[in-house]
Amino acid sequence: MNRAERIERVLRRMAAERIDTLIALSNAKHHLARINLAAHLMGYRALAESAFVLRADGTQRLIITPAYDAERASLRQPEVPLTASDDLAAALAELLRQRAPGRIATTGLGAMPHNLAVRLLDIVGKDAVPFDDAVNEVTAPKTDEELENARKAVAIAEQAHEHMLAVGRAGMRECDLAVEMNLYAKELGANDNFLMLSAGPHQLGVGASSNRPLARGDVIIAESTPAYDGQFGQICRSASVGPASNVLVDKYALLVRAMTAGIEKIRPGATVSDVAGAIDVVMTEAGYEKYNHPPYLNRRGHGMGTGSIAPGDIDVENHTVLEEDMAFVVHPNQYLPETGYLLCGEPVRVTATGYEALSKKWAEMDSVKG
Amino acid sequence: MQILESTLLTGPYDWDEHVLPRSEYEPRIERVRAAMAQAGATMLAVFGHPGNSGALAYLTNFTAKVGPAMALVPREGPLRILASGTPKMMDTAKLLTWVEDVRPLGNATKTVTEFVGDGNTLATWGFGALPQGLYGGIAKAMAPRALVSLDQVMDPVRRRKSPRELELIRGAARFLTAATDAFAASVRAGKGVRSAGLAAERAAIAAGAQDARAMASLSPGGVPLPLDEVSDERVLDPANAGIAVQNYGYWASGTVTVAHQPGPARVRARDALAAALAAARAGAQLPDGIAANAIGLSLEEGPSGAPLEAGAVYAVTSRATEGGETTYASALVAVTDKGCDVLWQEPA
Repeated sequence: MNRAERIERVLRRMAAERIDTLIALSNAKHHLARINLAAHLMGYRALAESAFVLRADGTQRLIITPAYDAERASLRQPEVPLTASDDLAAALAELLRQRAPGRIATTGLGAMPHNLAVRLLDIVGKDAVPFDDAVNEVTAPKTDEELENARKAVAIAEQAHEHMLAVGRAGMRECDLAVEMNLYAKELGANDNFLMLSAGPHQLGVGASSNRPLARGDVIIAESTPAYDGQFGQICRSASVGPASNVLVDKYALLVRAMTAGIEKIRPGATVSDVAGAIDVVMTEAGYEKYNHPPYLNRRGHGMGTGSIAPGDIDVENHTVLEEDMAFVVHPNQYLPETGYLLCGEPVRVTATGYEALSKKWAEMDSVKG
Repeated sequence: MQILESTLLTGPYDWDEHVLPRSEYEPRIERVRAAMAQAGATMLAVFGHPGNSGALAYLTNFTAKVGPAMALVPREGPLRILASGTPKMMDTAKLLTWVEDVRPLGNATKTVTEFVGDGNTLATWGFGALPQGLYGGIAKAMAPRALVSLDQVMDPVRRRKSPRELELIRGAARFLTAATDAFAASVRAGKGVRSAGLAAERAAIAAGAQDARAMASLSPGGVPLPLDEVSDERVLDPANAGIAVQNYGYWASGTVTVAHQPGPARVRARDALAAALAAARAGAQLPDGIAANAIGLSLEEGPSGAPLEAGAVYAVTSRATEGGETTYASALVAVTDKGCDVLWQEPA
């Protein structure tokens, strides 16, 4: 699929719902795990609030702020007509004055900052149809370009992890290690990185990196998620500070086995629940059924933004049917009483018959200098 | 200066009482409580997010590293912070602040309305940036009581910097020098602007900055813009950069031009900046063509285009264009009643 085909899907849905004009609004937050359908449709990461306007006849227009970002917007999306302004609401109102919008649908309005949203609400009117779910539903598969970017992002994540193993050591602050990984990932081509990294001898969960120095006997757990041209790709890894104990190695191998069982379920037509359920079965059989639920874990994986985060959280309660070219990370990440919280996760793409692993080397218990 | 918001902040943001002791926050809390009393509010909710934690950090030192956050300030008694993340993440969230009561944001509408209590009035600060869905939920739950914004009262208070804050901005200015020097050296060595921007960020971090963001022009003499694609690696002459660095929450920013053969536009930009700095004092309105934005815990503390205020720190930028190429000159100044102290200026 390419961007034009994604737009076609949206147009078909608009026709089915008798929508004349779709106004997709972006709050300029381009996040791993939050939906930004405007960015998803426009393929452009706005510096500030922006809108993508799609008419039923296929006409498109990008409205960006601030106006001085026009050069970047034109480079990123040269084929989409552009309005550059310092006032999104005024520019949108002018556009709708030039040509009657008919029946309007919106996405992203609830995520817009309040001061701007009240003006936008006045412009689109109270009868505008919230269209977030509809657009999200029909644009779940990644485009070929996004998939290629996801592969690059994951390759960067793997290199950044190797870098972490090379430079991490006892005495180094968590935050300094995280910042170094971020800088390294950017030097490899990343434009952002959702890097949740924390360490401790027995953690209850992963957190944002603090000023705490690493100590021998800690386990570093990291969700490393660089973005390449806006597409995030995540791997989850764990590394001991100093040699890993046998119990740590054994329990980590169990998590990898559970993850593998989940990934093996992936194919078009399977459900997200099938994937999460297969992970749970392995953990249950190993005697950890109690730990298959919060507060011992959050979820078994998730989609990878920006834009769409389909198929959502990898959870037994999620019955979304997998489609070809969905891309997401499967991570059994959870607490075990013997080791504390551990992270292991691999990103995958759904293929016509199964799955493609986006990472080259799957997780194993690693270590840094103690 | 506007930067692309990062999905997650990773630098050292834990509260250090040796740098900003409780005594720095106590008068701020007293001031905001006085504003609440004047507005007839019994409770204040302050909003922050990874792109701008300014008001939140001003009262609590809390930087919203992971996602949106709020501080709840009663007229009396302890504050509470609602932070993004699961309950298990609250131990690390607590390290970011002197406030002891830190809980997950969760159902913020329910938490806020319960905290306010029946019949009481909620004041807000920074709610203009609150996502409309959440704002609407809180406003509806509080109805018929209206939310009372304290932005107009508290934003000017926050702009007036204490001696300790000025010292932190001076520290940020030193990191800015390291960053701009690295950018210039990289461009002069023939590197593309993306590499030069990364060199600037690495130099600032190595010097001790908490965060560093470099933008650069995508065409010769163009406006500095986010470098979010690998294809942004372009060898340019002149190359413009907008660089922001952070020191213990406080930002310094500057816009610089690196050219192998500076032209007359450079002289004009620098002359205009020199004239602006000579005229800068409390109440002064800088001439057209000179941009001055208040800076501190936020990159832009507003309002733009207003007369300069005593005690505030400004990033002042002049620019001159010739042949379609723009040259910048910039400085960071602390404004006083009689003039201004230059905290940083682009090297000659």
